[in-house]
Amino acid sequence: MFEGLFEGFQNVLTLNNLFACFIGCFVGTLVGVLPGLGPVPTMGLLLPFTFMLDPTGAIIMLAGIFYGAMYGGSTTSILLNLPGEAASVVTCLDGHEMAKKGRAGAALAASAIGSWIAGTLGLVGLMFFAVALSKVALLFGPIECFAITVLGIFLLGNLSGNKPSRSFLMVFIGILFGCIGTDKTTGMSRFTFGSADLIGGIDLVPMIMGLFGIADVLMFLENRKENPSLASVKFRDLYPKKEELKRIIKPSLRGTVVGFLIGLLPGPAAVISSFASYKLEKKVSSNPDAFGTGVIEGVAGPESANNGAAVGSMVPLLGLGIPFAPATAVLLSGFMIHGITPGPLFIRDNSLMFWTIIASMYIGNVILVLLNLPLVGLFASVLKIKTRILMPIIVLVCLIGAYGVNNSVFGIFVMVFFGLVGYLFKKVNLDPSPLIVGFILGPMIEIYTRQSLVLTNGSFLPFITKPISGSLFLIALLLSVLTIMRNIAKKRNTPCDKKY
Amino acid sequence: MMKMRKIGLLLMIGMLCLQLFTFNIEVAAKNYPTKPIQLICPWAAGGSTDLLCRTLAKVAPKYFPEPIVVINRTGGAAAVGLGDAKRAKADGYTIVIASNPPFVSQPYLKKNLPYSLNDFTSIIGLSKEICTMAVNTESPWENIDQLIEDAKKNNKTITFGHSGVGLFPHLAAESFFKATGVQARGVVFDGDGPAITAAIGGHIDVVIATANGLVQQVKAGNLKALVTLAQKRSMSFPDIPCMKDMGYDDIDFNIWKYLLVPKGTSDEIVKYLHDNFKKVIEDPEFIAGMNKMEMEIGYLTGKEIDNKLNKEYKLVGNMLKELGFIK
Amino acid sequence: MLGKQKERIFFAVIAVIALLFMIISISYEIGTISSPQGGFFPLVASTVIFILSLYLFISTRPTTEQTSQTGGMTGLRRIFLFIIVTLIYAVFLERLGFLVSTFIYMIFLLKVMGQPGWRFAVLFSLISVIFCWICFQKWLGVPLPTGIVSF
Repeated sequence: MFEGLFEGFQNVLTLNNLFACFIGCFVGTLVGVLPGLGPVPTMGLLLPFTFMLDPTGAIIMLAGIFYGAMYGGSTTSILLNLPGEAASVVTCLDGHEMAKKGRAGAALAASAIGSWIAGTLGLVGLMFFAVALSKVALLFGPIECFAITVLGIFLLGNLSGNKPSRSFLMVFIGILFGCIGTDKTTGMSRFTFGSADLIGGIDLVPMIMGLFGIADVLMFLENRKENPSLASVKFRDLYPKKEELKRIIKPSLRGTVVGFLIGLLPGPAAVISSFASYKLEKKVSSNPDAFGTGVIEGVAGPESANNGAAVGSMVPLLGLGIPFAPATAVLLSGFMIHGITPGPLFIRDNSLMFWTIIASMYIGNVILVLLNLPLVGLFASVLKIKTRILMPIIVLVCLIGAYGVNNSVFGIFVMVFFGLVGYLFKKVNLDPSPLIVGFILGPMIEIYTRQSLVLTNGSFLPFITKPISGSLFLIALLLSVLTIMRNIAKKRNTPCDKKY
Repeated sequence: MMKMRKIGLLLMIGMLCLQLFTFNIEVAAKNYPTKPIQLICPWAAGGSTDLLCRTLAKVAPKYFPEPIVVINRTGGAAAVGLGDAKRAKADGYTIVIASNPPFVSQPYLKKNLPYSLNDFTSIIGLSKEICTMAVNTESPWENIDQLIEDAKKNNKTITFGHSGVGLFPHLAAESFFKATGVQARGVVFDGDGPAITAAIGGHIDVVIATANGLVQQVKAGNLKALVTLAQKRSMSFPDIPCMKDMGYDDIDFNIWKYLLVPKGTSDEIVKYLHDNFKKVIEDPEFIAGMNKMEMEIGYLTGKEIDNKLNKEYKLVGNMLKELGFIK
Repeated sequence: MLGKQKERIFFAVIAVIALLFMIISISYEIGTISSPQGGFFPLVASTVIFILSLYLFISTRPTTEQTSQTGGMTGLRRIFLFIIVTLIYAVFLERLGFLVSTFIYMIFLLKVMGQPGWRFAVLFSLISVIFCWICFQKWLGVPLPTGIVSF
């Protein structure tokens, strides 16, 4: 095995492959930073250009875009409270609070270092267990997927300390928004109100940019109060202190494990993993109430989790040749147009290429961390710009992102609508992140339910008797009982809750 | 006298105008294209249709003086992209790629579709994808006859995964099971990919998907192909029997991809596009690209496309009604 | 303005909207629990929203507690103006092209955000628009609308 890896490294360190790796990482960082441009469309657009490279170089470059985008994804969430993709929604919670306190640099560094830890350690997992672990994913059919998505909604719906009734209101509003457009099972259109564009449903990216970014812009417009200037913060203070660096390590390790395991499964791995890691960090923290006010663990955990998930999702792709996530599906197209079939046979017969790709990912992660750390200072100084100039820039970037999602002005309309909605949510103290959870998981629950019921011929019994789904439901049940009991105990201690 | 003069003047002006007018048309056709041509792809970047578009755009500069720019406008089973294309100017600078289901199935399933077949002029057929049935490698059925025999003898209900109601893999499967008399229940997945994955995991008995979507998994040893649901065997699975081999002469489900322009585009431009795209799909570079993606080239003239679509529209309507998906 | 009163109004509006969605859902085919059809999930979701928002409406007691300051009417007017102009911008984006319409829109943004003076606004808009054009259109291949001016 190490022989293979060694050969792989030798093979990467040729000019062509190194260049492909660097270009992939660079483009990945760029599209990760810019909200609205995800790795999936970018990889899709660049597919035909990879014809110029040899197959190995092509895959190295495409993979670089994929994991590179995970590095940059948190930048705008931290600096501007503007998540460019669903996985970074969590990073806003603490990352942006840190930025407000002048610790943007520390948050960005935590995200870069956490991503590097997860990327590198995840690779070790990928290297040793690609074939063994890839079979895990196959155990998850519609019924198991249904169970895990329901568990996901239960666990992640109540993330940021809203009252449960408010969080679940938001989750279900998200689910209802998810119903707009074409019903995937019957092909009929729902709630399109005569609009041709709504037949395609609501795009996630304009929606989150509206709920977070534009809502913030509207809040600013209301009283045009300049944010406290950070101009006096010295450049050196932007970087994390020793004590903060220490606090990054453990959450990153936990995030890596959580992310990697979730990445193995079907479904929106990156999103679930970052939400789950945040929840976990909050659970293990000695001071859970501080979450949401800007703690570095709340940035390092989720950011490493979504990188871990990215590597995890490579396991079923390389080990079996099955893409579970949209990004790995495009990667598979990349393999296909170069006439290569990933899978167990690929690892055996094309071992040099397999190891070259693995080696390129180790190197890519180093390139990325070297690329991102110096940028921390540059990005963090964005906050020194006066708010009245920063806000138009945010709007401009959002507009291009919203337009670029589907090359259509409809995205801009969606974004403005959700900007208004997000503004109203802020006015009545509702946190929109559970809505995102509902919006992503809701349609999946619907399609899984209907698939499962066709498979079981309308019976609900197999949902409980199948080992994986049964135990997942048991966990959900236990957790909800626990939560209810804790709530009752809390209520006894503080009989009248004056805060709400 | 004055009258005559006036009429003469009018005639002259009229003729001048007419000449100018015809001259303009000629110029327009001769000078087309003078700027990049947009090719709207109503499906997502990285998918099979998108790859087809981009291969087309890559080879096109050999035969077109201006580049072809691919623009993805996705959503609603191509409804968004086709709606946009319909609203575009009919000047030949906006073309759109489509397959048959948006015109033959979706009108039955969705109310208020933003387009119809009458809004477009067909240019040229580019490729065809063939519906194929496959099972897990560990499945006891080695070939299609064993499956049919086993299902009938033991009164089994087969669960089959497909990419969406009214799409061709679904219709192909339904008509095949009906013709063979096998009991079957369809499970809808969100696209070919998830359906194929479910078959590899053994959660469904069989999967029906396009041959080019299945071929990699068959090569990787995860699936085995059983039967091709078309009249001709597919390029990807030359050893697998087709419907003609089995004696079902009326089951033929091929997904054609073809180019359209908004109605009202001048005949010269349509002809220009047809002739040049024909050269593109006959180009060795294009053929090599298509082979790599395991896609079959399928040339059709505009007229043939229209005939095909009109025929299939009626057929699919009857089928969907019979199956109870529409009332 | 009373803080809690605002929340109550909000939940009441949500409840009414949920009710509307419930009515529309019923017009789709619903099916049964063991064989749900297209209307089933929207109906469940909107019913839960209706119940939850009704519950929140009732349980949120109106108090005289003051919430955070708002910018008053001028603030709301600015928000209104921003939304209207952004929608107009979206409508004209494809007709005028990215460069022209965004240039004008950026100047508006800077003014509405409170940037004094014109010289900076015009110069800044020009630079940012051209930068975006080069970055997105030329490097990343996002096909921004060209409209009347192209290069």
